[in-house]
Amino acid sequence: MAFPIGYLLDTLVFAGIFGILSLSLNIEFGHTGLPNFGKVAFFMIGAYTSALITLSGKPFIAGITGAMIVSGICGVLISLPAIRLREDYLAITTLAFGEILRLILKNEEWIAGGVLGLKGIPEALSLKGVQATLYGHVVVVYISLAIFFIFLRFLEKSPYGRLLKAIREDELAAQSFGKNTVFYKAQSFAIGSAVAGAAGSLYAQYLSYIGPDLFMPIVTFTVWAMLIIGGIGNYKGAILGSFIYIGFERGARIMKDYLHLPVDPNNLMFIIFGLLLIVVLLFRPEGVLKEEKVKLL
Amino acid sequence: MLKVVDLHKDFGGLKVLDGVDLEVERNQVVGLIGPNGSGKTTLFNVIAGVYKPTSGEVLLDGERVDGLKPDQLYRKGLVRTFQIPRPFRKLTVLDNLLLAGREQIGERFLNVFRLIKWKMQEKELLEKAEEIMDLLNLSHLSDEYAGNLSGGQLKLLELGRALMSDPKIMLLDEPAGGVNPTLAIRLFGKIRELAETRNLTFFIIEHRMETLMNYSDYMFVLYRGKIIVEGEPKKVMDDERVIEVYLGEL
Amino acid sequence: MPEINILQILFNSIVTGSLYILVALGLTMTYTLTKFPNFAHAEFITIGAYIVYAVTEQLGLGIIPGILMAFIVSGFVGVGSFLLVYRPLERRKSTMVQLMVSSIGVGIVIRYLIQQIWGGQDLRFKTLEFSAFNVGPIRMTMLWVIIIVTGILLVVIIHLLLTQTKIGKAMRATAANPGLAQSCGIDIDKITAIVWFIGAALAGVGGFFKAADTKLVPVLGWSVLLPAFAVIVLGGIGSFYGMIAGAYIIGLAENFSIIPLLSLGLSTDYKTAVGFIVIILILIFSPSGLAGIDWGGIFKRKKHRGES
Repeated sequence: MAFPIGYLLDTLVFAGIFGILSLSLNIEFGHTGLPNFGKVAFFMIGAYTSALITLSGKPFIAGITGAMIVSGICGVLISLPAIRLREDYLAITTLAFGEILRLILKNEEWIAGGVLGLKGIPEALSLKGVQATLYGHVVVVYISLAIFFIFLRFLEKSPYGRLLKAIREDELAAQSFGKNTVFYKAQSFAIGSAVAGAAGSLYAQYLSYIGPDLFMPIVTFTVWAMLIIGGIGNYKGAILGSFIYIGFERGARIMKDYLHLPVDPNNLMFIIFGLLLIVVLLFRPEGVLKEEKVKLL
Repeated sequence: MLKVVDLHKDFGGLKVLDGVDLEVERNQVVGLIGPNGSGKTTLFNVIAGVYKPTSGEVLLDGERVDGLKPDQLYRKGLVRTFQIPRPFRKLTVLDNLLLAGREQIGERFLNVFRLIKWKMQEKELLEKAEEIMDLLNLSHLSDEYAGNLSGGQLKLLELGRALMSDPKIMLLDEPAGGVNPTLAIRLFGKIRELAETRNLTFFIIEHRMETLMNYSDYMFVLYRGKIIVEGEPKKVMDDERVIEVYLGEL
Repeated sequence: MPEINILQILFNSIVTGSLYILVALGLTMTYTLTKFPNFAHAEFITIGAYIVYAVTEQLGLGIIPGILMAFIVSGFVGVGSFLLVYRPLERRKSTMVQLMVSSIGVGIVIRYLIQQIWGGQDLRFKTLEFSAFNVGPIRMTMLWVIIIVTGILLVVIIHLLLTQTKIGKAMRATAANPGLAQSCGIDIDKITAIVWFIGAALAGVGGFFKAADTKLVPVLGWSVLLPAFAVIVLGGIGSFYGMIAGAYIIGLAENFSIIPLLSLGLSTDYKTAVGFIVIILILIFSPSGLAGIDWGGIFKRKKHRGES
């Protein structure tokens, strides 16, 4: 067998989930100009919330809804103090928030199992057979991806989206035209966080196990890399970036199985990836897909 | 309409505004002139809520408004333009104008999906924006990113955005700076006309007093953070102190 | 609950603070000169530790050559990343966020190169034996004493450099106003490059100390980076003396946090979160750090209240 279908489906699921994360960063940073370097925190909140809900016997839909609500609320709570900060300070603050949260989940066993995490998280669609289950995951993830993509594009093409972009371009000018920019920035952060929470929920039900070590800062950086490579400010680019990254990662893993390199393919993958990020920033800072002129609906 | 009482603004001990008193009457075009560094833009920034005054009062229609934020002042009918234009660079000229529209239904998150409702309003705004672009010779740039405009065109866009928002009073910071002279004259003529026909009040900073002379009803001269002369343009122009201040600059 | 030895905690705080001075100095200087928080600073820290490991453990050349090599290699990695990545980006008018993300890229490249060369497993300095001894009630090791001495020496040297030498004055001028410095005939490109070298070199030495005190892993730098951010934000970015104060304050806060943590029955792991919490609080209440707090104003306000 040249290429197991299961492997392809697994890749698709990952690309889809990270695509949703990348979309969520795009509304915050690409669209509103808020550099959230604590993305992983909201992904984690969503994953844990959803896992706890579904483990208590509630259906997946309750899990993902709960994940979005809790992540969204946390987004607002973090944003209220942080959002008035300069962008570098906002970045450092959100990064620190993610680390604190991970430390708490790691140390407080009573919340969600501590270091061991949570096991046996039920799947969204329980189907018979491994293959069918995998197909089920693909369907669930891609329906979610499509919903969020359409939703965010809709926002972008409304006066609301125009306003968010104006805040990104010049906050003081937006204020001078009567826009309560702090309020809108908090909303954008909340939407981004809720969407990231949904991605976390999908991640938890797919892996069926989550633990604090899955939510290191590298996850945040990966999402940033996806968005920058795909195209900041472009929702299609955000998803494309996820596909490029995941494709790249899986490519390296396949190489590991079929080629015998003097270099560990995993290390090589990250090294090339870091270089790619730098090269994109240097030579095509707008990413593969440029931001488009948006015509309202 | 707009009243400023004993306004002070210090920046780390430096007194930029040192007790400014002035009053702008309704439906007038009022000029604020003064040499570079006299505090004109700072005065605007304090009135428009960018800075909080160190002491003193700003009254709009008799109501204290000092310390309010720019967006709160906008809702009370005060809109300002910037000396160095602050366009939304990655929005088109048209979107820059539309954004300035007041009370937009579609700007509320929950209303985004009430498509028909906000689209109706958007259509009205569009008509208005087209009228303004016509007025300012910007129609051919409607679909251009604001970031690609020239300095003079950006000045016009600044004015256009302010006009979009139906203010009661407009604070214009050197609206004709960098705009070609023919257009500048048309611009001031239009401002005059708007003041008379649309119940608008203008408070305008100009560096060169000659420009404003023919179009304003009243003028204030700011020098080292204080109003040193005020009155009708003719009277101000002939005042010895004003001539001295401007000659001193040369 | 174990008995709490306040003197021991104080001593530990000074060790932690001295270590932070070493790693935070470069971070705050490059932040001021190149105007972005360099996340790859974590890897400058890590690489130094691995170089010492290579020289002393693998080549058996002893500790002094090891530290010297670490200083040089980390320094070159720092100045190299500046010249190859950050400066070209700066010239292309990249935004601060783009520079930050590029530094993440640089960090990833270095980290996985390290992992490729030395592997991802924990390493320990086996040939280095630091004797432990008691001074009164305080337990200390030779390593801790060296860290403290290095920290203090560094402060004195940098102080003298900044105030007494031409190059130090040029550095201060460049940080305060690059345009003006340039028109005064200072070669700001050269100054900035030197700062990147020294900053990374010291971080590398700091990395070795950290690794010798704990263990050597590719994520070593990351465990120090966020506290280092806390230190420089607390001290006010770009302020050398503020950074020193910040380093010892964070050192004290981390070590003394053990007391409330133990009495609340919480894990002492949280001690590492102290720095993060300090960052968040400082940025929210006084974004320019300690220096930004209007100390005079606080007293004045109180006085006014007293009068009325």
